[in-house]
Amino acid sequence: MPCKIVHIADLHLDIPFASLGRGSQVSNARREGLRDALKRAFSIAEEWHADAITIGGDLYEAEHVSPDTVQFLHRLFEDAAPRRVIVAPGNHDPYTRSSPYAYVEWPSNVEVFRDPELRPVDLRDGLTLWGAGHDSAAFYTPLLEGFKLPQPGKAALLLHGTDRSLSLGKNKGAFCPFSKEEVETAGFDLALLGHIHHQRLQPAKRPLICYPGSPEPLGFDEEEGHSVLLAEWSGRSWTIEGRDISKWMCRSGKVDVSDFGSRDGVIDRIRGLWKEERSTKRCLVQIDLIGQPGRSLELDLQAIRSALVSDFEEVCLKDATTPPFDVEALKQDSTVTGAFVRRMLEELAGAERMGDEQRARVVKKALSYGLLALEQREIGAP
Amino acid sequence: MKLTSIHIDGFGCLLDATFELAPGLNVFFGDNESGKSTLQQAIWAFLYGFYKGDRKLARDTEVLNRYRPWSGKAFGGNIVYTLDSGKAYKVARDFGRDELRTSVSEVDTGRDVTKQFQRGKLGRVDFAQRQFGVSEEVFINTCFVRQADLRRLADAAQEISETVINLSGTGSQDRSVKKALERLDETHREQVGTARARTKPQQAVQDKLAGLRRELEEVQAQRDALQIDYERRTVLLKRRQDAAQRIAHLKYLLAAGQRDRLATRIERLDGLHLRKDELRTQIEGLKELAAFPLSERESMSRLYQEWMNAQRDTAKVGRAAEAAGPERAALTQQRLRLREEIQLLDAARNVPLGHEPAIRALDERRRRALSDVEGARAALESTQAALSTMEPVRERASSGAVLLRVGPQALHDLGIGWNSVTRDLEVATEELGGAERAWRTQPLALEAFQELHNRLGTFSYETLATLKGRKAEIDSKTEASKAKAMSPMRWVLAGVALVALLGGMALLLLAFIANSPTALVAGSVAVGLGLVAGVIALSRVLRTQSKPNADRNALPTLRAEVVALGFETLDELEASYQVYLQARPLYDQLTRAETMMRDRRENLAKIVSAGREMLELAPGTPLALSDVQAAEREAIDLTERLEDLRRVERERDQDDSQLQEAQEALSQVEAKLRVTLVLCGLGEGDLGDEVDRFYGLCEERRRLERVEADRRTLDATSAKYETVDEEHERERVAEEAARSRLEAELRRLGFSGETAEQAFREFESCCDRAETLHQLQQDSDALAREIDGIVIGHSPDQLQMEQSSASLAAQEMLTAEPTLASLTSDETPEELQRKLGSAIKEDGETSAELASIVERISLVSAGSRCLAEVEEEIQSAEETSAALSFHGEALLLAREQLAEAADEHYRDFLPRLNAIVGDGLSVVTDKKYTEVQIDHADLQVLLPVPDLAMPVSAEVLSRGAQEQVYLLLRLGLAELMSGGGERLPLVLDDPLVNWDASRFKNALELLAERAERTQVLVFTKDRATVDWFKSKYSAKGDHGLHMLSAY
Repeated sequence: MPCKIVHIADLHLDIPFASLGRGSQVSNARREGLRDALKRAFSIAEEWHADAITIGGDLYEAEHVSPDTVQFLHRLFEDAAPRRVIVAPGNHDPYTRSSPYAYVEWPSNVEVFRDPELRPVDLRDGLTLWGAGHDSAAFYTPLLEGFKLPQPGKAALLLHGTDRSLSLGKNKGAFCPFSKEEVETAGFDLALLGHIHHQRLQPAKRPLICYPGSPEPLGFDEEEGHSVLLAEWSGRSWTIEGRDISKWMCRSGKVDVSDFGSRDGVIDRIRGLWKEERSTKRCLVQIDLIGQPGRSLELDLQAIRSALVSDFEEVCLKDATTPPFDVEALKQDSTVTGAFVRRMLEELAGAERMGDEQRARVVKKALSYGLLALEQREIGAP
Repeated sequence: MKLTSIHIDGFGCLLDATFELAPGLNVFFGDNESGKSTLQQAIWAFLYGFYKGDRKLARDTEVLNRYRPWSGKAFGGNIVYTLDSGKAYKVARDFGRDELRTSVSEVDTGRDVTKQFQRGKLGRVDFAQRQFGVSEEVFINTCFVRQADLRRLADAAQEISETVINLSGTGSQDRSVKKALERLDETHREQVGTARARTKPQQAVQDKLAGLRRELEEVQAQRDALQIDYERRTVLLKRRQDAAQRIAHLKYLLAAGQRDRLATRIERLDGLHLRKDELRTQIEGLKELAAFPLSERESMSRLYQEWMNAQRDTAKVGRAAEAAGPERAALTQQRLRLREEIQLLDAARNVPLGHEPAIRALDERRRRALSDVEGARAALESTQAALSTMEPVRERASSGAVLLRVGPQALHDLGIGWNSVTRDLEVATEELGGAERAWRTQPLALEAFQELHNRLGTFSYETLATLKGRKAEIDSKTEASKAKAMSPMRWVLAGVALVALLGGMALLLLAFIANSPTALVAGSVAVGLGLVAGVIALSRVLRTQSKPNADRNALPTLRAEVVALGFETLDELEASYQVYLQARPLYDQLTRAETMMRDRRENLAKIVSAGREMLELAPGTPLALSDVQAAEREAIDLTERLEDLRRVERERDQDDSQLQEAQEALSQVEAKLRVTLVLCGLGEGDLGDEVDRFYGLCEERRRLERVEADRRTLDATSAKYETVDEEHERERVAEEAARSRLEAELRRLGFSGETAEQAFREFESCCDRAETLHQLQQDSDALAREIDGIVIGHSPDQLQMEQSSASLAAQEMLTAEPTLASLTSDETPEELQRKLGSAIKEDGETSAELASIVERISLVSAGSRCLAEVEEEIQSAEETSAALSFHGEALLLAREQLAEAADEHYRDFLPRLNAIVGDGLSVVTDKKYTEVQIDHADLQVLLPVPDLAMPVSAEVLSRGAQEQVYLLLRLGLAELMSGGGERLPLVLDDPLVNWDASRFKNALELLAERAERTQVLVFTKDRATVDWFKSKYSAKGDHGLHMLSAY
């Protein structure tokens, strides 16, 4: 008999979105969007007549999860019965005494891997699913190291862990590390995983290592690869299908303002970005304004942001432009202006010598402010 | 900026005139009323207009009307100028209209750019202010020099210096450092703010952050509370589940128990009936003992026990009497020995031991008092010996009575004062010597100086300068008159007259000789011409000589003023004044030193007089500081020795007093001891011996008491042995009596065996059987009651039915939950029932608490924001705060660095201006003056004068020198001003008119040098300037000569 599994991971329900949106409205919408994504995954499971839904960890953020979210999950899981919901807690939702996994009386169709070591649950007709749960936010144990299935047979793995072949960003620790070889050696036919926020199926043809990625992007560094996985066991082998269910998109880019005489040009330029994609998804953008603006261009970031409010869910702007002054020429000047520029350049050199980047940024900004003030020009608010 | 051309339609005397200006030096030459000042005024008016505001002030209107064209031509014209950037503009003014129309246009495009500038009424357009960076006031006071106004700078000094500083600092009046600093301050104030400005962004963000953090804590607390509630809810749910299970168990146990209990009752009832039949058979077998007096059993047992006890006691006492024989003999020996000892000690029996502590205490006090007396006596002897060695001190004290009365401190103070006055006197002497030596370095005798001082004490350098100025002016005018009188023209005229006269006379003579009418006429004409020329020459000479000279009286007046001061000539006055000024400080120093010397001597005399008075010396008696110091030492020594003597006397008196007190105390103690011993019956011998005897008697008394106590103990032991024999006999009699009573009672009841023991055993056997019968009867009654209790009004059938019913109920529960079958309990039905009630109650409480928690969870969940939302807002606020801090830090740094850069720049301003003016003055005056000091506040110029230590104001210089200084000051200001902004042209109206030839030429060279960098317009009526220009610039180039006389 075939067995169907819908696999998701890294929902991060109730995650704070401070880096994405400045207003709580956008952040709340983003969090609601994560719940919607989970609902869509459960709907797909129902339509596809899946036997089980597996969740590869980081379902929610333990530090921020609200009672309301716990109730939401309880209802959703309960409504999914008799379809089984199997959870392998991750580093953001570890199984601890105080976690909702422990203190909530979950419906009987819900199974949570409570132990920090691999345990089996029967799926169907001798097919077993092995899994483990993180018991803390810093679970670095390599569970698959030296592990072998006690009896050779049909078995899949559900785990929140790090494929050692991936080079992670500085903020990603190697939680519960493993390798493809260890999965093979252990005797698993499939590894349904979580922890990596973009889809990753390896090998591509008949995947063994399956990360679905987070269903929705959680940051500007997560532009692509958000899906749920539809895994089907034919009785002899697994087939995997990834399905993009995201309704949000994050994009970042740079806009050179050197050629614009007024901020309308800048606004139009940003408005024209990712136009096609935006027609189907709600878009958050992060734009670095670069170049040397002309003297007539006033870069009022608040005004630009307001003008784009109907085009994007959120626009994060960063003024990375070069001040509109010829500093090299000014420092030759025998006036106070020249003396000021020389002093500031000395300060800047001192800060750079000391490796004090923050001080260097302050000095650069102060140089710009001083020259603007000498020209009696407006100094924009931060 | 350079002026390119000026076209005048009509302006004063100038009509339809065009001037093309060279970029360097432009000299406008013309006589009086040739239009020099008019052209200069036109330049001013074209650049800045006539009116300063939108109202027509009478003063400005008067100026405007003064330059209204004489011929009725159009009043106005245009001026073209080129900025340093190369951009040229043309300004056209029409002063003829009421609104005084002004237009500004670009020269290269012809585009009218008037609207780019701020415009007002009366043709006011601020192009000059904007493009040149200087106000009209500053322009007129720096670049625009009119001969009459050369010295007027003080009124606008502040604005000028600020403008020049700004222009030299930032290159633009608009780019003012002050305004920039204000802008940075304002931006910081408005966009960041301080902790005190609660409405400003930074503080507002901080307040918001504080509020959010509080909210975060509350949300955290609510979350923790919710988690506790959730955990509690799970516990309660589990508890409710357990309670339901427990209730089911109890109900089953109750039902099963009921079933089992009924079955047991039925089975028990059957057993009881069988037992009842058995009892009935046994009772029948013992019924002959039904009347046995079982009640006597207790009294008989008691009598038997009494007999047994008496037997045991008799045997025990008999054994003790037998064992006491040897001990009794030894006891008798000891009693005899003690009696003898008591007889020996009997004499001490009446010693009163109660007095012993008092006598011992008194004896101890007596011993201490004896010791005190000995000590006091030794101390007194020692003190008296010391006193006898100090007798000579008394004699010294009487001879030094004066010193002791004055005291060492007063003498010490006198010595200090004397020392101080002596030192002051030495200092004054040194100063006087120094002043005298200094005085001798100058040539004047003291009397000669005092005579000079009388004449010149109120005289000042300014008065001398005034007199010298007047003298120079008089000399100058006199020289001019002489020169004029000796003018070559006059000599030529006189020569011409003489030649004409002589020639005419010669012609007349020839005509007369030759009788030639032509020669006669020619001769007459020549004579006439000669006469006319002679008359003219004569009249000129005579006019020169006879011309009333207003200055002629000036010299005598000046001389009279000099003579009034006691000098013949001004030079003598000046020389004497210089000598006086040099000697004056030395004289003052000498006078001060003498005065000080006098004061110090008087002070010394006063202190010597005070010393004599203090030491009671006759006036005039010699007294030196060493005498006072010796007296002070003697007074100190005497005072100290006298003090020692008095101290030892006080010690002797104290020792004497202590000896008397010790002796008195000893007497009192001995009297008390004697009385106490007498009370104890002792004799009146030596007190020490009597006390020792008393102590011996006390010891004997105590020994007697111990021996008597031992004797009493032996007596008691002996009495005990006698009592044992008596007791043995008593016990034997009691035993016989007890046996007799027992036998009598047994006989009364019908038991009479061979011995009392045998009869009593028979009695006991009958008693046992009678009691068995009684027990069987009681058991039978209890069985009957038990049967009644089991049946409880039910018939056996009824009991059977109840049992079937209970069994069915238990079976039903078992069918529903088969695991109940394994349940067992030792508890009673009542206990089970109580537990069931308790479980039901507990279940109710659990349900109520659960409902309460669910409601609370619901309420709390609905009432607060989610943690992530609050944290997002906090992070956002923290980012805003950090951005504001960064912004504020950058603004403050910009302000600080800009202010320091400006300070640095401004510090250089005055030195640079001083240098420019000083260098120019050095060139112009051929290095007579090489440096100046300019006051920043009022632009007042001070010059160091070689003869004086102090710099003097330029105001005390001659008019020509003053003009030179202030012209150079303007050139310096304009130079500095052009360092940062536009290089404005210098417009100078006959600036060199009062200058001597040398300085005149130097000044022109200076202007020529300046014209290499800046356009210079010089208006002059002096031909020498033209000559200089022509010799300097032979070829036409960047400089131009404009002859105004042509117009």
